[in-house]
Amino acid sequence: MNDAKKWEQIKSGNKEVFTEIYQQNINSLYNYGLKINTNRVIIEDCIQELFIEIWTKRDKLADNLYSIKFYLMKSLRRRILRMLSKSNPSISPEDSKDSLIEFSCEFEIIEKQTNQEKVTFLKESFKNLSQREKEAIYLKYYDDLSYKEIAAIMQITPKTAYNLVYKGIAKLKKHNPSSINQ
Amino acid sequence: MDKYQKYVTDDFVTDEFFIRWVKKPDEETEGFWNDWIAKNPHKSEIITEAREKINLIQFKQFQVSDDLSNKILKNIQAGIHEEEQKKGRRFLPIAKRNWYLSVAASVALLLSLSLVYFLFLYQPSEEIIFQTSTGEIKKIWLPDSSKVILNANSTLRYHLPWKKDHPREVNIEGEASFKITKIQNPQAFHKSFIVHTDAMDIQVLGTKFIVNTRRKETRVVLSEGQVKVTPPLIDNQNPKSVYMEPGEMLTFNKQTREIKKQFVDTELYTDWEQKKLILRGTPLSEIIQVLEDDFNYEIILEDASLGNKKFVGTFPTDDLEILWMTLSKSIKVTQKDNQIIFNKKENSLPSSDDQSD
Repeated sequence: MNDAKKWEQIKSGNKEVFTEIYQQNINSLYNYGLKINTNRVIIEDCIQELFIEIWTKRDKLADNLYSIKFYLMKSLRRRILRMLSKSNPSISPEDSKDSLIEFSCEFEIIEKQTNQEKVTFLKESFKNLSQREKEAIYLKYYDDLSYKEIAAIMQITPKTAYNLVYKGIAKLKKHNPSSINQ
Repeated sequence: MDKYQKYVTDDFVTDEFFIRWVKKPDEETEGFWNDWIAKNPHKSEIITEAREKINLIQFKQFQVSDDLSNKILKNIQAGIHEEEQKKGRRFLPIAKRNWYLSVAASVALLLSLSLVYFLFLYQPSEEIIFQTSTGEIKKIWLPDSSKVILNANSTLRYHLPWKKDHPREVNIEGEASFKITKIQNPQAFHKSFIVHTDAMDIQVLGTKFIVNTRRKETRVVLSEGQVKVTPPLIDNQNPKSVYMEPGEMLTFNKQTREIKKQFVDTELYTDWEQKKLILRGTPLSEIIQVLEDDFNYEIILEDASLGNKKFVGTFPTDDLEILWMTLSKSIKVTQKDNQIIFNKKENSLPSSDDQSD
């Protein structure tokens, strides 16, 4: 069953498909939540409220979907930001709520043997990435979302999404320990 | 000339078609790229570099355990049930109105009115009770969507139904954290929210606070909003109510009936919500209280002077091993059945501060 059919099933009240969608997406939703905000109570509350609303207001669900995963992530991000801005009344509605995000992304330093050489990313180069660059890269390379989807989630244009990823990638410098030892 | 001819490494790294080939190769991408590389051998080094860079981008993963996943799912189901019940109740007043309209003014009116009452309006009052056992923490939604986090060994009670002509009320034994919904439009629920404890009534005017009724003192810690605390009647005299501000802690001594207020670091009192124990120069005597109240340990303090020893650190409460390890750095910790015994360490130099993490 593809995403569009699954969505239709949920609208007609199929609880099994609803639960299936939860099981399939909880891991990536939780991980995305952790990147945006490390408070697990907030993440869990938002995930719960998201699914409760999807089911209880299922007759009002829109039909077009890029993908269910994309819809869930976009909604979760919006909810977490809303909850954060409630407890931060100093942020005026005109300010971008994005400023509340501290994208805590831990890149894993992977040591790969390529042609007898050990290659890693310079730890320093991660620190040079902006919050939005980190989030865009995470959505692209971990969640495999398209630039269109990233744009919709982060509320920017696809071109901006591409630029964020590009700038972030350009900042990631490889580190060749073997060459230093020479 | 195709666009890829002019591409440098990072252009490939960010190209969606290229990424698909590296991460989830399929017939289309394999076919295209192998063909393209064969036709452009001078680009093969850049291609290799780009592939490598994509593969180097890895993120630390958190694996959601089955337990965690099931817990969240259960809460979702509970929330759905709650919402569906609310919808059911909201329909009743409308049904009542329909009945009134359709009944003629006659003796039959009286009979049908009492019928209406019993069929639609009479809601037998039922008491809802939530209880937690040792080490258990429960998240509860109240009929008005307020959230309660119930700490271990505690009880939350309230009566249904909640009507708009009567203040929302709950009863607490033990410890709970509250996040109360502010009622903007008093059509469904009353504006006031009152928490009853054995020692006092707490009227909520704001949103986030904690009540702890264990031991000889009842304690309220206010994080956000406003709260009015009313102690019980003393010799038939109307007691003075006390107002609390965010960041304040109020303690009421059940024996001496003394009320004290002070500003505190509210995080120290709400850490249990996140399954953490935060110690900032906390004396051992207080740590013992938490271990006894929330985890039902029987603690024996062999040397009373140890009670003043202070500890610092943040400990997970779902794995107390780390706490024991830290404590044993400065005191002797022995476990015998259900008892934990704290004693002075042999040959230890006296010191009043110990740190961990």
